[in-house]
Amino acid sequence: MRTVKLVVPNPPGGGTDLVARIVAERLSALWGHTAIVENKPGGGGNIGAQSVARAKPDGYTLFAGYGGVMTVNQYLYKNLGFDPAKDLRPITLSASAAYVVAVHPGVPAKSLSELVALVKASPGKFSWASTAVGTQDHIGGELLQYVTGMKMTHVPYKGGAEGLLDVVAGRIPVNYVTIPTSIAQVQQGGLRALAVTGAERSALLPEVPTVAEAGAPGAENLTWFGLWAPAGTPDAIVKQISEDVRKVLAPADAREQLSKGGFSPQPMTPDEFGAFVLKEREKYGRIVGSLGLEKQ
Amino acid sequence: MDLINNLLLGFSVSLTAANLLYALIGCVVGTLVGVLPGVGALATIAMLLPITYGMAPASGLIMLAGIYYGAQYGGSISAILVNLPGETSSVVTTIDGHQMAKRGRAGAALAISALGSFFAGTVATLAIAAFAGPMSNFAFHFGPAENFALMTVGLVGAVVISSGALSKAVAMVILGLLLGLVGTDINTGTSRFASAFPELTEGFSVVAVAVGLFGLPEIISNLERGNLPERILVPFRSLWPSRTEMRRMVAPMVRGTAIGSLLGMLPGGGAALASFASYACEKKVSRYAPEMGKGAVEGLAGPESANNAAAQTSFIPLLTLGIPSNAVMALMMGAMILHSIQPSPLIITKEPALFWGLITSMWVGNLILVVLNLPLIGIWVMFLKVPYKYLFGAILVFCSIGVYSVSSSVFDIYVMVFFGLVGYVLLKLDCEPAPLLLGFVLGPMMEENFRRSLLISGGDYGVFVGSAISIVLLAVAVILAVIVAVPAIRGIRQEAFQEE
Repeated sequence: MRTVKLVVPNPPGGGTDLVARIVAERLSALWGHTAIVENKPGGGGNIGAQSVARAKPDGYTLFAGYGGVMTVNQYLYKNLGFDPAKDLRPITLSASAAYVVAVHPGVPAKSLSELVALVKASPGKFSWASTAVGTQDHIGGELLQYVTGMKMTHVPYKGGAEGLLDVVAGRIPVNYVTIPTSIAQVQQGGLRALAVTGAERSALLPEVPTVAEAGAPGAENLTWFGLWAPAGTPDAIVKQISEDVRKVLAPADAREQLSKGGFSPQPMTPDEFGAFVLKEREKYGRIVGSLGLEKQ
Repeated sequence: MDLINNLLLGFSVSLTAANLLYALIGCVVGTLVGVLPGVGALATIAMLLPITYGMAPASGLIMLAGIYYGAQYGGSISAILVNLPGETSSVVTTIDGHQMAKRGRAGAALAISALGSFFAGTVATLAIAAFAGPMSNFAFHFGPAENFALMTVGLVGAVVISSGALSKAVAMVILGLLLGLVGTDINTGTSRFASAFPELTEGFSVVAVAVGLFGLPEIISNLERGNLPERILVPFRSLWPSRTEMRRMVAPMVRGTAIGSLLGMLPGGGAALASFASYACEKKVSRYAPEMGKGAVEGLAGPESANNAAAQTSFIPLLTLGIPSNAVMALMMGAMILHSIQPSPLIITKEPALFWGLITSMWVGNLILVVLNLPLIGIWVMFLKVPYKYLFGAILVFCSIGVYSVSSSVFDIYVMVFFGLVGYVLLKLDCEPAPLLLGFVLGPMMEENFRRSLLISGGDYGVFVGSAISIVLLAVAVILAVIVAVPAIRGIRQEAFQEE
């Protein structure tokens, strides 16, 4: 029997790869034949997406990508090599993870609104650490500033952990990073968490309010992972895979495996997922537009 | 003694039959993937990560850690035997290691590498056990400005490690810096020199560049001689280091271990710099420095100890701060989180058996590697008896597999071929590729840290001399530069006088 390929647009390691491997492993068990992860990194995720967009639409080649490729990249790149709205059809969301807005404990702000007031009172004094310009982390942080009206200098890092070190050391006051990356420092007091960016509180940090609760509704930002098929894939196949992913992510041990990595499983029907992607695309389009980044 | 009790607790975990077996599996798998250029610990650990979910936490971590340092040792084998560095850290190993092999000392070189690694692993493990807590703060003192200063020292060091003309070494470093610019700038999202190839959005693959620059030119120049050599190396006399070689390896090994242990704790560039720093250090302090580059024991023993020590101490920021210092450590953190273990200072008290089990298993793993590899040296060296006409084809195939496997990219194979041709031209011009590679690796990190320092300071250049660490490091860079430049300038003037 033929192998099903889940194309991941990142190198091995990292959230997208991990979630795809968990899904592939469990789909293999359900189907009784192999589903494998194939890493096709590069081009900010576009290369992997493009290869699936051009694959035979028979359900044997799927795109296991993350939100940014399908929602943000079209605002950052002149030539994606594929059309995110037309060339790939949504199957299901698999999992998502929220970010945490945190400060160095020396910063006097005890809540998000106090931080906003503090930043507004001393313009040009505050900086925040996050990942490279154009990433989901950076755009989420810009969204937070857009919603709250505070303005800080962005200090970009290759990875979230590297920036975390400079925040804990007290060189940068504010941090915008995923929950799994920062949770150790939050728990031991190296960072003070002010808000999480999910619609609901995180099971890993139950005492930290959501951005909406902290007075910044609309600043929600998730890093999320989903599955897509090439455009011409028959409805029946797309529907079947969507149901199967829901099935394999339902058992308690699957939820536990994901939640330990900071992810919560969130399977959707193809229609729900399509609508979700569209909404995300509009939301980030507004923010990227307001940043005035030039398309590359 | 707390330390002894802790270590005993640790050994009670790491010496169980199951965990010994997992350490063995990890070390064997690691050595094998390390021997193949490019197929590194990172990809292997990422693929095996979901499997460890079904294992006991300590067993899973012990196996993954075994892969990590097994790969360090495996990488040295191909660097010594066929001049193929699989990772940045084994680039330096090719310089004197491969020269030793060419002189018929392949067995001795492999043994020195194994013994140096074992010594470094033992010391670094003890250091982690005794000082992990206090040492963790070391990383905090290195902000962007300090990192920038450290990398400046690294760049000057890149000139020091070269044994040829100064002007050529400087040119190579600059060429490396320029190549490092290719890709997306993280500060603005601007794509540099990559618009023609979307594959270059993240820059050139380090592995493709390293394998291309070091491995391929060797093959081309061998083939160019027309009648193929029967085999690459002169027949070897003995598999073991001679008494003189053993004596000469001691001091470099100790210095390399110290340098590696310190640099390994720094996030980002530290571990990559360790082997280069040790080589540069030997070049300046060793009595045998003039022999370096021609197969000197010092040029092998120092860097090999340094990279293994750094591999061990790079666990410190992860275990004590919950902050991974490199991509492999980020995966180890992922593995811990999958088992509901949050890496932080608390794990020492919350999960003492796991913490000390993992630490002692590092030593056990290093012991397994030595026991495993010393007898295997004979077999590895036999491999060189294969006639070259068969061997070079196999090397090319494995290079391609390795480079491809890093990120499943066919484009990276073309990059390797391109840099193979570049390397061949450099070989003809008598330019050394090691400074180029160091410039290539350090360049982007230097730029990031430079701009980051200024972003944080609000544009104030004073930030670069704002701490004692930066000042000392920059002073070291200046002094090194002067030491390197003065004899060269004097040399030019002498030549000028002679011409008059």
